[in-house]
Amino acid sequence: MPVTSGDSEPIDLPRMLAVSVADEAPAEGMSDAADQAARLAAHEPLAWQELFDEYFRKMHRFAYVRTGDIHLAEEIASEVFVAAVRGIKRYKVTGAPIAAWLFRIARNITADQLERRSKRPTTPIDDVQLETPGFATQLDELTDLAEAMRHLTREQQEVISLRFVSDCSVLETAAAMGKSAGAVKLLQHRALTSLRREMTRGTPR
Amino acid sequence: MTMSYQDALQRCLDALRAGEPLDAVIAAYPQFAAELREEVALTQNLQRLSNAVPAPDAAATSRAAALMNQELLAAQAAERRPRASFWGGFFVRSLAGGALVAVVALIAAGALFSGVFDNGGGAVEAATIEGIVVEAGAGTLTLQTSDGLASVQLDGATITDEDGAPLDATGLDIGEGVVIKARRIAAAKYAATQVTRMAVARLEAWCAREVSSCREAQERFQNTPACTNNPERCKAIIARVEELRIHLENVDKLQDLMQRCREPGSAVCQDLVQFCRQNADLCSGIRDRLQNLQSAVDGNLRERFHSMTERCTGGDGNACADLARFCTEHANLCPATAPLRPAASPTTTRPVTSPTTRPIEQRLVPATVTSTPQRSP
Repeated sequence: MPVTSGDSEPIDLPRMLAVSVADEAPAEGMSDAADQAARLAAHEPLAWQELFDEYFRKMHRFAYVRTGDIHLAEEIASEVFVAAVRGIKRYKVTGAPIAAWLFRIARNITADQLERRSKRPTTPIDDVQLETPGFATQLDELTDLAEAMRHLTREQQEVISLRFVSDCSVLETAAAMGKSAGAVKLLQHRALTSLRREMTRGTPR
Repeated sequence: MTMSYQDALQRCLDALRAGEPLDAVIAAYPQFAAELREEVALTQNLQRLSNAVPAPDAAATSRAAALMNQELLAAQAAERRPRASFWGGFFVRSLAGGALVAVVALIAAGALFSGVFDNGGGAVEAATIEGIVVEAGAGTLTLQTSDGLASVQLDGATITDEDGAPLDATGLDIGEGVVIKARRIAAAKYAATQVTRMAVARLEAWCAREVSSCREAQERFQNTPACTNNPERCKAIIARVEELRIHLENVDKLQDLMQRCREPGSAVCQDLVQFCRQNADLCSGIRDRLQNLQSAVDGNLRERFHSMTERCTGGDGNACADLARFCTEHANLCPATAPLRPAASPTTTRPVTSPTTRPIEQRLVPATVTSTPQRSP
């Protein structure tokens, strides 16, 4: 199962906070982004509250789709902002939206949480992911889709979650995943193709 | 194929996001039309899936905001150390500009917040803190205060009870209320100069004012290791917990009465006034409101009295019985001249005697009535 393939690592804050955008960093909006980053780095409460208001729900949604666990998703979303406060001094404005940085943190924390959970014998990840009552069972018509998602690789799941569930742009997704925009488009295409193939195959519930 | 297909897909997704008609975009890529339609439909389903993701619980959101703000305040405090005056001013300005910052989160982070301004290497600040002891270690107390937990060092402090009788540190056990004069040495850390153990009434009054802090303290020392390690001490703690539990029940009752008293025309206000007469300490925090309430209740009672009086003197025997009962309960509001039977009743064998010289208890004894049925008081 890709999610538990062992490629997760223990939380490494410096690593998760290091954002690099390989390409397509636009100059437009750089000053706004720099201004926002400066306010955040100065620990302005209002700036942080705005960031929280805008992205907490998105972080939660991302984590929920990846873990299928509402409480774990809440925990992860919360951890994202605590980690962000701790690491804001190391954040560098590169042209990527701040969201990408947050999603990168979320991605790493989620991977770490999934790794930890996969080691607990009582809660195998295969039984949990995307199968919670609040998700698949409540959404009969979407269950196949949720099931099919489980058969994607970790990166494919991430790109789908970021692009179509969390509504991130290609650029944001690229920054969050540490890939180029072109690589994200390719990965997205492969993920959608795999997803379509899984659905056509009729993944048993 | 892949690159151009990817571009085509991206165009479709962008069009979808912008609310543009999809067919026109797909028509521009006839060679991929079928595949594009399927994948775009798939992404639409994914978005539906996204919309179906339950929102985080409101309490969880508040908790998360509070945690973030705590971290923020801790970071500010850490930064402020070398440049206390600058960061203090900076933070004040930030807060002034940030009036919309979630109040809940700041309240939750209250303890840290208060420490931000005095955690630097600058002058220490004198403080008076009140709270309940939730941990008592060697020379240190941990208090539950209205701002959260506070750690207090007792070295060299004078410790007394409220009457000024000296105590040693062992007299300050878990569950005791204390008032401490201290120097603040760091965020939520104090060095005590004088410690006064609260009398029970004062502790109860504190709990009445700081209900949630009091409950928090109770929960903390119910689980204290001191209880499991020392059964004798535990008994005392449990007794104290029990006292507090009963007290908190009274607090609940008070709050319930206050809540219901707000309802228009509620007779509960009278119960509230009565309750507060019996629990004056508990109601000390609402003394002003209580006086107003007392006036209002008295006004209502007077109105009732006049109404009953009118009906009684108009010949309504039941009203007279009600009035008699009323006068038993509210002797202070019942003038000595109150009629206690239908004055105009033709069946009355003797006129109502002027009761001015009779004590109320005597007046409540029904006078001889020959035929008018009357409820006994």
